[in-house]
Amino acid sequence: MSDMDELKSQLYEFVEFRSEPFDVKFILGSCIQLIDRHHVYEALYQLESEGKIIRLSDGRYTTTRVAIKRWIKNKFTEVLVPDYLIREIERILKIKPGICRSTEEFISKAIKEYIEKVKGNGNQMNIPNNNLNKNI
Amino acid sequence: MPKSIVKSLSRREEEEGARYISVKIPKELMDEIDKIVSSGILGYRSRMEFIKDAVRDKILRLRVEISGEKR
Repeated sequence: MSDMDELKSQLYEFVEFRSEPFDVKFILGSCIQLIDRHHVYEALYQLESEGKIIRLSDGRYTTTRVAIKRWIKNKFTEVLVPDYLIREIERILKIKPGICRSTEEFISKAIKEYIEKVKGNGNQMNIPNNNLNKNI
Repeated sequence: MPKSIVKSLSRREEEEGARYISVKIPKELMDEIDKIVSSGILGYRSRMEFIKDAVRDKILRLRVEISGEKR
């Protein structure tokens, strides 16, 4: 392993689970040994090219793992469903495995279809009609 | 919606002392649910009530489908 690969590996290990964005100054300040600033820039550049980290608009970096996690967190929300309904869904998915890949997908589809149904019934009831999520 | 079946499921829920499991759904869907619940037109008082009815509705439709295939 070359010195640069070693630096990249250590640097990535250090920031991998860091939830806050980081910059070169932070990395240099966190190093026990004195490291050439240019080597850190080069390591970050290579990590970015490999898709392991992302450069943010303010010049700081975050790991792709953290960025995806944050994106998922912003895109989804948690709801509580009674366990007997979950068991019933699992039973149905065993009989008809082709309809959904997971319980969560089943529930999302069920909600989407139900919204369409009540909106269909409720056109005369003035229920707000916005675009439903078409990505499910 | 077939109310008789909804009622029987609600009773079952009470009988079993249902526990709740956390599930992730897209935020867009939750926004839609919130609009319907807050409009008050369909009589839903909470998101959970709406979600339970939605899931029950799909389960019932699939049960009918499955029993039709078995015949």
